[in-house]
Amino acid sequence: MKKYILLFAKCTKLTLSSSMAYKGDFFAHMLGYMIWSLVTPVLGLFVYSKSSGFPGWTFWEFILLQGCLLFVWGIYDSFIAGIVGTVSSNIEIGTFDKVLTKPVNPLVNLFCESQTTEGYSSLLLAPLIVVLALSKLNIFNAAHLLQGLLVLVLAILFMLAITISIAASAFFTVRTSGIRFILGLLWDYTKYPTDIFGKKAFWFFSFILPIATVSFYPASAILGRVSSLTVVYVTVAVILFFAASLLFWNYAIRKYSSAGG
Amino acid sequence: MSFLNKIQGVLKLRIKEQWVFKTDYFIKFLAFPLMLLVTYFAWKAIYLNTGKEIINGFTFVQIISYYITSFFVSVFVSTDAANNVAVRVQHGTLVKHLLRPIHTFFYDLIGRFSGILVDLVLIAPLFWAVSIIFFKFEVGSVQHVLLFIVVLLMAVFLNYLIMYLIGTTAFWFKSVYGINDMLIGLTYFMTGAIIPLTFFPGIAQKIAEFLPFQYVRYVPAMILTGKLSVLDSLKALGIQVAWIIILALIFKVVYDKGIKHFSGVGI
Repeated sequence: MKKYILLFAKCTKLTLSSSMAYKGDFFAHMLGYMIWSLVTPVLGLFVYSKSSGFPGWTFWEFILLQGCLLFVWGIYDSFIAGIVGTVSSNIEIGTFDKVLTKPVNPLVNLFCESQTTEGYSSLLLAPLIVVLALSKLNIFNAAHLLQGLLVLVLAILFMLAITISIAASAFFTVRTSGIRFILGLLWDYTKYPTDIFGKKAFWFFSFILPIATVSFYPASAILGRVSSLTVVYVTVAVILFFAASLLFWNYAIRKYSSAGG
Repeated sequence: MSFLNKIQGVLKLRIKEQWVFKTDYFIKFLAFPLMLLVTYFAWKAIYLNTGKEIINGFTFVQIISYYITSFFVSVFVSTDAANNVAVRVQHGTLVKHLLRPIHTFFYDLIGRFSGILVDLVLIAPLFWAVSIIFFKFEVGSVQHVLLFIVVLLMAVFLNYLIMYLIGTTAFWFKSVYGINDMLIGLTYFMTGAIIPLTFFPGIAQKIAEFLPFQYVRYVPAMILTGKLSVLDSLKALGIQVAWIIILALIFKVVYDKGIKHFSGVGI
């Protein structure tokens, strides 16, 4: 375990120093990502100024949901999203063997090596937005916060599972741009409260493809609107999803035939 | 070789290039209902919750029609021109483009128009069929449709100029991808891509009125959906053309200065 933590820390340091080679551009990048991160909160601001907004969600509750979403996205963009690109490019040019011959688990190695700084601005913004929303809502309940944190961990596990599945599919399709594009659109569903999409979709996004864990459940949990039983069901759904993705990954690795690169 | 022959040559070449990626186009089309469903459900919930038929001058069908048109326009106007220019300047490959018998701006723009032709064949018919049948798309009059086609083509030109101008920052800075991202993000807000500009607060609306960005997405979408009268649409077209002329002049000055700065080292 210590070996992996050291590897992760080294890779983070390397990623940060290479991104900061052009400091001005790095900060402009951060500002740029921040602007993009604020698209949906700003949309919410305009919508709530002219209407009653989303049913069951006041403006600051909606902003809390956006804060949770930004946190998960920050983690995803910084530490998870790059895995797919690394896997497909290595397969395409035939250098994936190098990953397999390293004395660390290939998946952990990819996780450490595929880091980017793209999510740093979201990670900076997210706590600010959550704290601002909580202070405006004037709620603080330690038990609810803990439940919210637990669901956020589940959300990260779910994002990792989806990424592992797509990376594994690269062993069969080589290029994954199509799947990634469709999936990118699916993420749009996380920007709004999942319950607006109807009962069937809500059930599907909770227990089959649990994207509701990304923003809806963490925000609802912090607001004290999720029962412990629901959290248990969602946890089971995410763990099953994660286990399935690992099985698929192992199957794909076994099927992989080297291109001799 | 006449200018028209050059255009024809580039057009043929670029259509062949675009056709190679026809699967990507179908994925884009498949993705469209998925993307629109999110917007559909989000606004449906907002309208039901508000309990009004009209919010800020838009009925539910009109707001969905706005987003459909806005998305359709985005397929045509979207371009990587800003980063492409930056890459060429930084890698020095701009030299290759300077040696061509046609200005690099027009070479790229013609390429984009060839992409539009492919878009029209592969995406447009299915796109509008789905929009009308499933999303009850509401269009203005025939005059609105005709004006929309002209404004859309101008919007492609206008957005190309904006993105090219952003890309020219590469002549003066070592790395510009961050700056590009920031500028593209800011312009995205002001084009009306996230919500019609009438939803913006008063001051932001006033600022947007004095900038060219609304003529990229907001104005074309408002014209096709009939939210602007024919007369106002004609006025908007006039202002859009004026912006194209102003930005073309600025671009010429900036680009010529940038070229003097540029050295294609290592090519």
